Amino acid sequence: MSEEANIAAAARGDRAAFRALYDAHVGRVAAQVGRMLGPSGDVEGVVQEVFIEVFRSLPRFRGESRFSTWLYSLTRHVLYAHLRQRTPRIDLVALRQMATPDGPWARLDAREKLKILYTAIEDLSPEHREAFVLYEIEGKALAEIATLTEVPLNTAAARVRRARERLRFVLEQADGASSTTAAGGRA
Amino acid sequence: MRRTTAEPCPHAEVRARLFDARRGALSDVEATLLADSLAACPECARHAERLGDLLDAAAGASADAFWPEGATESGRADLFAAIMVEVDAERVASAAEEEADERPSAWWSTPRLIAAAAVVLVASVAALAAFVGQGGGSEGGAPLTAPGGLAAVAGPYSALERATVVPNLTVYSSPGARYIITEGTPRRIRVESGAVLVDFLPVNGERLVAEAAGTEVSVVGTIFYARVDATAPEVAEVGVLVGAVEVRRPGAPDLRLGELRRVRGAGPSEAIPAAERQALERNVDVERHRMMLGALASRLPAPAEAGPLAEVAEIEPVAAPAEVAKAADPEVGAVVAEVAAVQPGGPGAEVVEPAARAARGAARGVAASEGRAPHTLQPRPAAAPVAPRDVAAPDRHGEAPRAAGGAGGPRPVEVVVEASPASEPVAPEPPEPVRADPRRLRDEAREALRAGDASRAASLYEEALTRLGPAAPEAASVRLELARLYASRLGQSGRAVEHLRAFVDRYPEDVAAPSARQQLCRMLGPGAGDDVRCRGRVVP
Repeated sequence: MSEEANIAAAARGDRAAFRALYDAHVGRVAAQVGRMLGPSGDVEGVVQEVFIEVFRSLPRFRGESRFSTWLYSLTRHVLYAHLRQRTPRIDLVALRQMATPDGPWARLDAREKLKILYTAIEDLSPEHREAFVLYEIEGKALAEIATLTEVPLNTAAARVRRARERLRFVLEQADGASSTTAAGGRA
Repeated sequence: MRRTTAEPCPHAEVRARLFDARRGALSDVEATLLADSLAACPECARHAERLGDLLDAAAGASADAFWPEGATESGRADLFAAIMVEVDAERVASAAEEEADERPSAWWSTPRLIAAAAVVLVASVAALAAFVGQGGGSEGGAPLTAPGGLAAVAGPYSALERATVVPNLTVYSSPGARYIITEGTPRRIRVESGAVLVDFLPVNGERLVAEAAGTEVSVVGTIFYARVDATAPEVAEVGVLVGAVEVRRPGAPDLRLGELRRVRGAGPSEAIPAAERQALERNVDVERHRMMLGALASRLPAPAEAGPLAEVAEIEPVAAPAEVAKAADPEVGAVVAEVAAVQPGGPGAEVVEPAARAARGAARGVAASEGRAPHTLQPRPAAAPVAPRDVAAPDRHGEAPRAAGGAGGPRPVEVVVEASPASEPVAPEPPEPVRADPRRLRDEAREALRAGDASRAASLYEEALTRLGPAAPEAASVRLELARLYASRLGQSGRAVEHLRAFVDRYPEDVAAPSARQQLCRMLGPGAGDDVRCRGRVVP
């Protein structure tokens, strides 16, 4: 069955068609959600919320945009709602790992580095976090980000700049602590 | 070069360009200048390396990297099941609420609803009649059969006929069973003969009353069965697959019947035999019922009163609820028993988010079997506006005001020693007796954490800390790991406080010290003022 047929059938409550849509898109949704929330976020829960919302909203999908675009937008809205409702959490272990000396730093695995990065940007607003993720992690152009996030280009640029400053600030704090630590003979 | 955190970086301009350099957005000249600057500033080069490491780790991460550690492939695959449970729960709740809105206060007052119920019952009669080769029955079910008595009735559990009466009520009846459903508030099912297995999901505290040989069963959210043998019509058997019920019987103590227990007539309760339970469970999806309970419970508008049976698993004598009258049905004679409502809720009620997670977890095979009677739950938080452009007016949330702070400004942050993964260890293996190498101990501790065994991980970290000694560079990180484990995973806040105090005292200039102090003071709560580390601090 084509995606259009699956969409139409799923909108009528056809579970098999909805399953087909889920299978086709869950990877992209999980990536979008994961990159916004980071490895300590409730990725599963948000992905679940997204698809529940998809099931609810499908009858109102009029096909005026591509399904993937519509799904991306819906996922954004669910993510924003989630990020605004939650209390930011700082992972102390990851925070301290920012100041890890070079040798142990080299031994950190990718997941630990992911935790460090998302700890550094934990208290960014959803808007700044999204701009940062799209620009610095996904490598999108500012114009594309402006379109995706429905803001003027200069707003998107300002958000990226603020997020960069935040990350740099946190890393420099860690660098300073690391230098102090090294001078004191500790890691 | 040594720099303290109070001093601005002397190479801020260089560092600011690192992002653009990574994207390849610098001209050749700019790139050369940056390379020269980095060569002249080891600190900047280190900063650049780490920044690149972090961003590369994120850019190269697959979606898998963001799922919780220890999440199994099959568990993730089951996410779809969890989604459909939520969807179904919503539909059941919606349909049942609509149905309840239309339901009359007395069953005879709205012919349309009587007709609707009759359709269901007639359909059941037809199905049963075809099965047993007989027809009839005044309101539902087939004529009395089951000549072999209760043992014969137990046999055909694998062939129960299913009838969905309303979205949240499904009845499975044995061949030859005779039962009557009466609309009203509450809805009633009277089992006159045979076995009837009832899967009932509560919506807005709705109750269901079942009667069997004078036994009156009032339940909220259980799967139970009632059975009456034609050769001994004064004897009812009631069994519970999920939840608990309260039974009042004449000539015998009232009792609470817990999960997987059954009782016959005035006899003692006993466990449902495994074979019988398996036969019953082939008809009804117990796990799905539990998940639906969780999902529906999260939709309750307000916490229900604590039910008398929320924590009940075994039979015990209870006082008869005054509001439930003794059965006075002339057709069922003197044997009267009564099963009171199992209200959704109890003293240890969960809040909505854990419940929702429990429902999700159940669908993913996490802690599903731990669910019992429905819990009292807070109302689900108001759904966030979800309005894709194609569906409704676009949400211009981009610059929406926030409660406090922005990207660089102050913002209330709850400092928590990392959120804990979903599940706790089930069967920790004993640690190996001797491990001389602290690094190996830490590796093993991480391995234990990945396996979900927080208890063993803490034990290994403690051992590592002992072997490292307080002056070892790694000791600081180990203390934080231990604080995180004790606070978030093991529920031992006292131990977490010990490690946080030690960390704050030993490493006051550490990058994590301010957050650790904040966490410590938050954990101390009202007692924070007594701790010198927290004096003069505002504890969030």
